Amino acid sequence: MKLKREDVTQLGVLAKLAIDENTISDVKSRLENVLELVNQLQTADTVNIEPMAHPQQGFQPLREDQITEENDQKAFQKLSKDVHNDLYLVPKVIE
Amino acid sequence: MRWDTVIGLEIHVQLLTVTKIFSGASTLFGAKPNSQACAVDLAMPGTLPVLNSKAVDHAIMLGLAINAEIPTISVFERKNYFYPDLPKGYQTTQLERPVIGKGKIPIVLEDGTIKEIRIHHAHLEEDAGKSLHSGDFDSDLSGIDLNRAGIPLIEIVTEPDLSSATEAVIFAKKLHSLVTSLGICDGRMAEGSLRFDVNVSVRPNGTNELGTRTETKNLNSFKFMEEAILLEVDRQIDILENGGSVIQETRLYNGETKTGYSMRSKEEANDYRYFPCPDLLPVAINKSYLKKIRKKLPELPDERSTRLVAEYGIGTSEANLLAATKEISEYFETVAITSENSNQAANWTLGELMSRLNTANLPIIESPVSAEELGVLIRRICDNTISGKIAKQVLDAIWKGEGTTDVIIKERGFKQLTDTKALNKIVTSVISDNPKMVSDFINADPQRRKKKLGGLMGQIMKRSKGQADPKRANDLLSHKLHEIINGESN
Repeated sequence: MKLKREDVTQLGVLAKLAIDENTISDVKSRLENVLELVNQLQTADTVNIEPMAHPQQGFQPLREDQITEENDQKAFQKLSKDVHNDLYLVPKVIE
Repeated sequence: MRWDTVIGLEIHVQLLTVTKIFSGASTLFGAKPNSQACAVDLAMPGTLPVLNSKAVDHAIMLGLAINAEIPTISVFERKNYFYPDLPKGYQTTQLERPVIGKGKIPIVLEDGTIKEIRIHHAHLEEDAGKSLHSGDFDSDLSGIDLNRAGIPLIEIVTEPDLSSATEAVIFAKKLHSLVTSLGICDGRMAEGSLRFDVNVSVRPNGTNELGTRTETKNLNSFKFMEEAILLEVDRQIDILENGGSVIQETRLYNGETKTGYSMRSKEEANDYRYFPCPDLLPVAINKSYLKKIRKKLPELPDERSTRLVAEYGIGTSEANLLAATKEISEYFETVAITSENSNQAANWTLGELMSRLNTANLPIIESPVSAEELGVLIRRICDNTISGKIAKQVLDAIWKGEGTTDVIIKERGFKQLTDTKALNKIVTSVISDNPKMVSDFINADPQRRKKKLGGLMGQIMKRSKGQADPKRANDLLSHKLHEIINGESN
């Protein structure tokens, strides 16, 4: 499958990756190789095969709805670069 | 040109649990920022999620209540996107195999007809944290509070079966009443316990093909939801009638400025790269589990409404209103039993009491007037101790904490004037002081006289400070007036 240069740029936007102009053709050919492999996988007949939810057998254990965690806020916030009035501070992102 | 509106809803219901969906951290609302975000919620390396049984129980309760398909296996997946209030870089949610399949919720439209709204599915997921974009920190920073990260949600997705803002609001209220009656959500919309995303499109009247839709996210009041839909329908029709085309996009609505704006278009939309979460095994829901939950199902609003009609003989529309929440119907039932008059109990609960509660913005469980006290008040109307008009004054006094019904009636001399001799005195004086009204009555067409009586009755009530027994006073008044008429014609 062939990609256009714009496809690569758009993927960069979605993946939040800055792709340098000079590397676009390299990234493009490598992604095309990946897609080639995907094409190959898609030829496998999976019509009657149940999708695998998990490689392990068994089911999810459930826990009681009881508080088991203490407030370790101090310890956690020590790991953060920037904390103010209990909030973690990050560069502004507004969506 | 005429247009049809097509609306589908996605509703996030915050499940009422003590702890988060995948960790044992508290979910209590209003705690100090980040004091309820544990290592699992913060996505510390090496942590693993363990599913909260209560969250699954609640989801199944909802499924049973809306007669939905409940598959034996459901699977959690990762929805990947980047945002600072999502520490793991993905939201643990469900996609291909949700916990609840197809179901339906009937709603009663304004004209009384019943419409079934199909539920596409409902799935369990975790909430994200909260970003604060202004505060006492640099304006180029955002503050992150992760207390909400990991709070259990159920997202309910409807088919596009709603055809107006009004229908959408009726449905939303029904759902609110359903989840609060089930006890799976506290229903506090201002705190974000129930949030609505509305998918809106329009198409030429009578056609079948769906138009391009937009999604307005995070509406947290019925009023905003209605406004946002009306505004969006208007906007889309404007675009189409001017030869443009609607862009598929995510929008937001600002309830204060009453404006909508675009958040992101499809081109910039995330590719979420869903895949089954390797940290969680499939969830098994077998027959005995379903049976156990079915036993726990409380009475639901529709059942309750039917029962109120059958047990108390009140009207269906009153019963529907009273049955909306468990608290209101319990209140009503106590009033009905204490007062021994179900219809008056329904009227006073829905009318005088509710309007006072709404004005004071109080839930019924915090009503300053207890159900027993309202019951006694109604009993005093029924046994002719006081009139309905005086009862409203007594209710106001009870509301202000000035005493009980009987104490207030006694202390303020509100007791209704039923003594014929005293009533006669008032009636006679009103007749002699209002010759114009009396002659109007006498000269009126006999069929229209009843209407003319009102003015004189008003004077009697005024003179008796509202305490005259209206029925007796009315009888005495018409009797006296007819005596005059007969006297004149003789």
